[in-house]
Amino acid sequence: MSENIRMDLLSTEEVNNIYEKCFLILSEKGVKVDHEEGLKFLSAHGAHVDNTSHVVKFPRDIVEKALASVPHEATLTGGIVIPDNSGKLYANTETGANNYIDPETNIRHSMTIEFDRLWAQLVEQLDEISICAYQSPTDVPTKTADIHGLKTLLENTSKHIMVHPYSLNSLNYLFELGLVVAGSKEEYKKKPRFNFICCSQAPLVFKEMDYEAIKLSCEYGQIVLPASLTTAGATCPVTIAGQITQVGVEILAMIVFSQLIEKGTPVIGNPFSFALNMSTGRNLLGSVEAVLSEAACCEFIKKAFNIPVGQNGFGSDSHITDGQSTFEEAFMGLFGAFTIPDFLIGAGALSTILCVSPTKLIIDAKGLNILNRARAGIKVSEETIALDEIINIQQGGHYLENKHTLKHCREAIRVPLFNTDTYDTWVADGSKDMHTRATETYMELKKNCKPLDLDEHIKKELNNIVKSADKNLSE
Amino acid sequence: MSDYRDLEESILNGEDEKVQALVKEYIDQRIDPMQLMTEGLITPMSIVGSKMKSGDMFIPEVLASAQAMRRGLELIKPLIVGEESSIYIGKVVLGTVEGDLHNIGKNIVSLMLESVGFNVIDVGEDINANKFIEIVKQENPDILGLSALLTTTMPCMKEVIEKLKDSGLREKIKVMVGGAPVTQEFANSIGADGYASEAGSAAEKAKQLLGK
Repeated sequence: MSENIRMDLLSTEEVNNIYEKCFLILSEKGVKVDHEEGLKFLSAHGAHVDNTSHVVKFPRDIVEKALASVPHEATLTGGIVIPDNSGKLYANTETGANNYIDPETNIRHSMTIEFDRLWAQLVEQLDEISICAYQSPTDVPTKTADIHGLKTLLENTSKHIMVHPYSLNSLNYLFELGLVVAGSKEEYKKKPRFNFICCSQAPLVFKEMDYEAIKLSCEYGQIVLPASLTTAGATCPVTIAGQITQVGVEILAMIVFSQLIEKGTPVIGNPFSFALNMSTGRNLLGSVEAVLSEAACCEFIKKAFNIPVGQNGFGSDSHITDGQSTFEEAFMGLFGAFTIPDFLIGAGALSTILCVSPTKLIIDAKGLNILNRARAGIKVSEETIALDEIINIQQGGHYLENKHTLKHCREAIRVPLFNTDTYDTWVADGSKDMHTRATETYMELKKNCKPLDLDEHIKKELNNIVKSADKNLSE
Repeated sequence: MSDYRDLEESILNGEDEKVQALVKEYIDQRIDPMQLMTEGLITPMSIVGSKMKSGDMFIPEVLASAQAMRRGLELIKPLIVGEESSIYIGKVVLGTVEGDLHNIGKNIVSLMLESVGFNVIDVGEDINANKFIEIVKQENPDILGLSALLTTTMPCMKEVIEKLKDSGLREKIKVMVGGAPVTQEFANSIGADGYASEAGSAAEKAKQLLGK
C-alpha cells in the first residue's frame, strides 16, 4: 500500500492512550471466562482468577509476553501471506446468512445446503475472493448446520475457509473435517486451512464454546480469528473511542488466551463493529458511524497489537442490491482501501448480515479491483512526470501515438461489469443496468459450477464425520 | 383535580428524582393512588410510546423515562389496595431459547415492555422448552416472549409452542417471538401469536395482543 495515500483515523498519541486503557481494563476489571478447564489453565499461567465469578484479570507482563509471541503475519491457503508485501487487499465472503436472493428470480429464500454448494463453486471461479465462508443452511439438522456447511465448502472450493462455529458440541467435528482434507495433522498445521472465528459475548465475556475454539485452533494449528462483535450503545460504549477500547480489550484477551495455550499461533483480528438504530434497536453495518468505528478498530488493533486484520468492506443494511447498497459499499470500500486492513469481509452481504446475493458477490469481487488500484496510489517519478513528453509535444497535439502512452496505456484497470460505453452503444447492447450485467455473469459462471475432484476416500470420510455428528448431536 | 402535566414533563425528560418528588407531593395531597398511577404515570408512558414510534424518542431516552416512571411507581405500589395485577397491564415471561446466550435484544424488549406497564419476568438465556413450560405453569403469564439471535436456535421456539399445546397451556397464553433472524413468515409457520421485527415495536405488539 502506498504510504502517501494511507488514511490514519487515530494519531499515535490516541493509539497509545487507548492501548494503556486496554491494559488497565484487563488487569483491574478483567474478563469473564466460562470455561472451567480454561480458568485452571489461566490461573496456572499467572492470571488472577476468581473461581466464583469466573472473572480473570491479567497482569501486564502476561499480556506483553503474549504480544511479543503473536505472529505479525498469517499464511492462508494458496500461500497468501497477510499483510501482503505490496499492500494488496484480499476478500472474504459474508458468513452465517440465513437467507439468499436467487439471481434468476430475485426472490429471497431461506438458506439451503444446495445454495452453500453453489456459493462455494462460484467463489472457486472468482479470482478476487480468497476466503470463503458458509452460510447457515436451514434444511439440514439444526444442531449440525455448521458441520454440514463446512463439509459442503470443503467439497466445493479449494480456497481458504472462514469457519463460524454454532455450538460447543460441533467444534471437534469441524476441526476433524479439515484434518481429513489436509491428510495429516502435520500438514494441517503446516498449511492452515481455516480462519476460525472465536467471538466474545460483549461486554467482556467469553463463552465456553469460544475459549474451546481458541484452544482447539491452537491444538490443530489453525488461524485464530478473534471477533469482538460489539454494538455501540448496547454491548459497548456508544462513543466510537469507547467501542475501539472495548474491542481492543476483548481481542487482546483472546490474543493472550491463544499465546498462553500455544505460543506462535497465528491470530487475525476482526472487530465486526456495529452501530445501533436508536429508534428500533436494529444493528447497523453500513451507517457512517459503524464504518468509521470498524475502520478505526482495525487500525487500532493493527497498530497496537501488530497482527493482521480483516475489516467489514462489502456489507450493506439495504435488503436488495440498490442505490443504498452500492453507496454504503463504496463508502465502506474506500475506508478499506485507504486504511490498513489486510482483507475485507462481507462480500455478497445484504440485510446487514442476514442475507447474501450471488449477484452482489460478483459485483463486490469486481469492485475489489478498483479498491486495490486506489490503494496502490500514485507513482511520482521522472518517468511518470513525463517531462520530456510534455516538452516535446506540439501545442494542440496529442499523446496517443507517443511511446510513453503505449508503454503505460494498460496500467489503468478496466473493471468488468462497469459500463464505460457511450449511451448509443449501451442502448444497442440492451440498456442493461449493473445488476442485470452481474446476473448475466452469474448465469455464465453457474454453467461452470462443479465440485472439487476429491479422492473417494476423502469424500467418504467427510460423509462419515457428518453422519456421526447428525447421529450424536441431533438424534 | 390535577392534570399531572408536571409529572408528564418529568417522565418525558427522564427525570427520576423529580418524578419521585412530585409523586410524594401528590400522595401527601391524598390523591387516589390508582388514579395517580394511571393518569400520572401510565398516561405519560403512552405518550413516550407514541414518540418512540414516530422516531421522536430514542431507546435510551425511552428507557430513562421508564426508569423515572418506575421510581414513581415504587412509591405508589404500597398504597394500592388489592391484587398486584391491577397495577400492571399484563404479565410477560421472557427468555432466550436453548442454545442461545445472546441477551441484548431480549433485555431491550424487557425494558420496553416494563416501560408501557407490563410486569416482566425475565428468565434469562439458554432456556430449554421444558423449563419454559415449567415457568409458564408457575407464573401464569399473559404472554410468553421467546428470543433467538442464532438461526440454529430458532427451531426451539417451535418446540416450546408444541410443548405448550401438549401441556394444555397453549390456549391460555399468547406467544411472541423475535430476534434478528426471526421473520413474520417464520412466526406464522410455527404458530406464534405475535412477532415484532424490532425491539422498539415489541411493546406495542404485546399491548395489541392483549387488546390494551
